Amino acid sequence: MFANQSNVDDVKKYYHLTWVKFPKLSGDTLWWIERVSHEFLEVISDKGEEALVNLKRGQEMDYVIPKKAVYQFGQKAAYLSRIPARQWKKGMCDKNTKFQTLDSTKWNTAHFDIGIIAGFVNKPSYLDFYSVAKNWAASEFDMVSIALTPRISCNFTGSVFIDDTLVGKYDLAKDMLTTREIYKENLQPLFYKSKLKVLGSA
Amino acid sequence: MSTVQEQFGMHISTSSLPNVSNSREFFCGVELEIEDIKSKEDVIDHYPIVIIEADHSLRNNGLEFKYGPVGYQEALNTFNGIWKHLKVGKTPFSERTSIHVHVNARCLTTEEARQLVLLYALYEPLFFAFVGNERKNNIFCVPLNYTSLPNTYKANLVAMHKAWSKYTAFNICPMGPGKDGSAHHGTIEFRHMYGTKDPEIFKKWLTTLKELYTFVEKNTGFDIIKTILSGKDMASYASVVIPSLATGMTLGQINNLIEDSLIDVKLSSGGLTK
Repeated sequence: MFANQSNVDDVKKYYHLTWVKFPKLSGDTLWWIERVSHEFLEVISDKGEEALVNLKRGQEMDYVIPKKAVYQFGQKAAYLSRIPARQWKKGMCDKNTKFQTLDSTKWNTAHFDIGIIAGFVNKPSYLDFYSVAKNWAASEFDMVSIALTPRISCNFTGSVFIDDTLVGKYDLAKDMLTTREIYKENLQPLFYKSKLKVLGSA
Repeated sequence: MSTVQEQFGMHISTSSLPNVSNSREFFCGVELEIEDIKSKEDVIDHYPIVIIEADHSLRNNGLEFKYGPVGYQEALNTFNGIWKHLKVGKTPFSERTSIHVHVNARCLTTEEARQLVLLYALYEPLFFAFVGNERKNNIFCVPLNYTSLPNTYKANLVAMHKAWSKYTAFNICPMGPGKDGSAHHGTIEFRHMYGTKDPEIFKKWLTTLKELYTFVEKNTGFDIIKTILSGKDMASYASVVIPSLATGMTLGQINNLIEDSLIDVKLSSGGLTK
């Protein structure tokens, strides 16, 4: 939307205390709207820079609530999804965006951290399973979990997930992936060097 | 297997309205949000079945026009009649206005209703392809595929209903009682459609909803997971379930659209250990 003095009430209602982008002003940088007045927006970037956006002149404002995705963030896979029950805020905030990180045993809800979101908005990254598995085989567990695709992840204990649902188990010693028939076509291309064991028919 | 109305405790209607409680035919209710209204008096005179209410989300003399339950043809006729008699200014539609259609599901079994949810979930991208990408970012019309709700697909209808959110584009909350015990209609609400007075667009939309409902209603015992596992090409299957939406799209286009939602639906079969 083009934020200016004519729609300052909408800006306040939908974007105050949320993260947005000003694409024409600063590209993909994320800004927190700290305060809305009739003249200015007081904003703080994800890197801590403070700025004023002049509402007399107006500024194109973009909101950045992403769709559901798994992606790599540091040494863990992160999972981000929208919370539809709390969508009255249009900018991104902890009321409408949920994220979790994959630990050694399961997905845990993480505190809302704009660094994790920025990691997704700027350039989500994915890893090749075998490039990390060789470290796990050598008992190097710096990498706790890895995002393989926007839906699929794996941790060092061999649990394989679609979103946050466990759909496979990788056995490092046997170099074998166990899954169900229905997930075979999704997982096999990512574990193409390994043996495959399929449970049941569905 | 119990029906939706048995499961959620709705009483059998004895009103003179179409008997949505004992017919599996397609019935719906329609809500039209319209702004910049100059005069509604002719609508009141000609269509007493239409309820006209204020809606606080609307601006600029906006009102909501609600009618139903009605059959398919009456829904179209009433839509056209409202627009024939309503006097509006230059901006009756905005990002705040939309059309919500409630599809009666009372006489479906709970498993049929669950299959309807899953079929919709699979083809959701086609529904959004029709209404346009802007609707995907509307905060009151969130695609299921953007949320973590697919993790509930493996549950039965009651558990699924309990976990649902009313601001999803495809809303099953009205099927059963609200969390606060509020009234329920035994319906599934489709919130996608933007505000329009174009009869052809509304007709295509309503036809699509009827096709989806009718597919489930006629194919008793349909199981989407078994269908996927049988090797059926789910992209080409779209032309069986929702032909109005699939027509004009290539299989490649449909395959691309449903690539991600197909994974959502697979999750309904459970995880590694089910």
